[in-house]
Amino acid sequence: MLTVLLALVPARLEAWFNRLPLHNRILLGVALTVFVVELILRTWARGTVAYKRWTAFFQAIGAVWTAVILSVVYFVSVGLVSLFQRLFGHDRLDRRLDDGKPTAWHAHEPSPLGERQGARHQF
Amino acid sequence: MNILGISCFYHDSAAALLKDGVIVAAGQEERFSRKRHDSDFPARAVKYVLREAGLKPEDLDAVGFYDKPLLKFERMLSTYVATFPRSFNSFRKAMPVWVKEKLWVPSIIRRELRPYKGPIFFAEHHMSHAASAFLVSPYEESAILTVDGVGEWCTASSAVGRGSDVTLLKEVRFPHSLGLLYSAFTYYLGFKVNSAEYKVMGLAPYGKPVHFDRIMKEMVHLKPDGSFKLDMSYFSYDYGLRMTNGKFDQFFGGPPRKPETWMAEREFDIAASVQKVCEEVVLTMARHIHRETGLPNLSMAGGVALNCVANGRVIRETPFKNLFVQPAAGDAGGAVGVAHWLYNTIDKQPRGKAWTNAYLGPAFSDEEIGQYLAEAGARFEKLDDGELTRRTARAIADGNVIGWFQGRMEFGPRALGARSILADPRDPRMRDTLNMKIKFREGFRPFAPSVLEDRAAEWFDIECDSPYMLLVAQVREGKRTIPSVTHVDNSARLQTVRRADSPLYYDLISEFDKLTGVPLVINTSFNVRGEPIVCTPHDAYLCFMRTNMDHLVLGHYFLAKPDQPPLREDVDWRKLYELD
Repeated sequence: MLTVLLALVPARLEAWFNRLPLHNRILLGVALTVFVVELILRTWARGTVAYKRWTAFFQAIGAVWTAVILSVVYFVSVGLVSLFQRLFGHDRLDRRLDDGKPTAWHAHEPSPLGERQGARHQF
Repeated sequence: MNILGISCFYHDSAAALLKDGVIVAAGQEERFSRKRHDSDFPARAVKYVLREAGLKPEDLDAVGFYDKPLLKFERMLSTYVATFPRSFNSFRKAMPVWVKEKLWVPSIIRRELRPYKGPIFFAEHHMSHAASAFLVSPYEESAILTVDGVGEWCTASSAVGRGSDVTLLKEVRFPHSLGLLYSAFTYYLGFKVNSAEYKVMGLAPYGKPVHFDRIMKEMVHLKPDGSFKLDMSYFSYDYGLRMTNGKFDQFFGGPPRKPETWMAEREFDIAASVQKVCEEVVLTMARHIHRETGLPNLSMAGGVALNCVANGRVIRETPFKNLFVQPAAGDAGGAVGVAHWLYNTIDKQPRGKAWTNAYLGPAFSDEEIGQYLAEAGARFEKLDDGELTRRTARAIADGNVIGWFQGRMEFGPRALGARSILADPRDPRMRDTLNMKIKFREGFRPFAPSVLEDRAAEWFDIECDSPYMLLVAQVREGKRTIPSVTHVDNSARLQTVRRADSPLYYDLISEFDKLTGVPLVINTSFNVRGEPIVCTPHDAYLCFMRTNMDHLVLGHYFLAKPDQPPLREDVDWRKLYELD
């Protein structure tokens, strides 16, 4: 049974791989290579200059991607919500000084779940 | 019932263990990790408090976290939205930390406390502060005032404590924050935010509050009930990586002072002005809370409650008869607060004995100290209590500087005679000697006295105890013979010492009194600038050997510097600690 499985899996994988478009095959090949090199370096070359450089390289790529993703999230979602709030004159930070209110104290709002149940949650 | 309280991820992370209603151990992570204001998960502090209580993680009944992370996250997102697009840099810097760490508090706690499977609770940040002040105070009933930078949304709150209950009444909300206002000035004066606010307080008496009226007119809109709003056009802490902006610079006629550069009248006057603003707001709040509650007692916590000059004015100038300030009033104390809140307020358990001291950290036996000293190759004498206090008092009176390491370490930012550097307050040169040759810190920084409790009123204008060094009082006119602990305005930030709390320390000061007629000594924290206060005999010995201290007293061991072999080090210790 095991022999049959072992024989079938590579054959199926190969067939699946060959059906993929060329660019996907290239990407998958690169990812697999990176994964295998990482495993080898992590096992046999941890602490070496080569491993440190390898890690730093991918950390730099990670930092760039993080910046790109966060920029998109910030300017699309945060920006959009901000635009709507400004259109409706809403300021969550209550920065207006001439609001005519005699006090800047706000009543404390206890958890609607009750004190004990509310303490179970992070909100 | 065993409850672990945890505060972390912002600054001064800490752990506290409450066993059947009593805090048996508490510690700040920085003391163990040797990283000042360490904000990481307090793994070492947790390990210590569990060991001290003889418990394993699985023996805990509950774990409490000192704030509500998701409410804090909501406040941050709301702030980014409100300050778009100026908040981009702050968003880019903060989000990875939130996504990676701060949003996963329960998972991190479970991972660090494996195999603990019990419940994890979350208290509001200012509830943790309020509980940390009232539930360990000596009062059955008390008004509570908490003031700090910011928690979730709240930056200051008024509350009432009765029996085991703590009820938050009102709050001032972000971005209007007295703590952040003080931090903004700390930044502008060239000091480190969330670290060196106390330096601004120490600088203030050198100047005149010439900007007070302008600040109160333009920046701080204080209402008669003590609530206030800030004119946010002067600040950038809500959206940027700096605390103040160009408009603030224009207001004071120049850019922020560069760290470690010369200071003059301008800086002194700005410090004096913001200090007066801080005092005015705290006093107005306290008077309002007194009017509303009619209670004679006030308990205070939050970072601003560490402003001992303001505290001194609260007790002198408001109708409150009694004041209790939590010794770890900053965020570290939140670990104590959440543990007590769960036990007393949520579980309705009666309160235990009130705190009379802050000695909740690790202690080391003479055997352990002796073994360490032998391994280090140190030369020492072992003395009994009487000889130890006599020899040490004589050494202080002779102008020597002593490292004093006794019993359990203090919880909170002040050294209170367990991990202290001691010296003679009568010597006018001692302040410069300590600042320049021992602590390696700025020359303007004042030193504080530890005075025998029963003699305090004789030397200082004070009618109550100050066991945690959180009150400032004037040195009495006929007693101004202690220049090294008398600030330029004749004030002193004093610690009153009770024999019941620290017998050896009390006896030492008594011996000094017998020799000199002065019942007080200089007490400053046992560390150098940028270093957390020493925790272990090893930390103490290193600090002693690296500086110009003359003697070290570790438990019953008395060490003299000239007898010691040279310290073998392969690091430049001056580069180990980031300056604060």
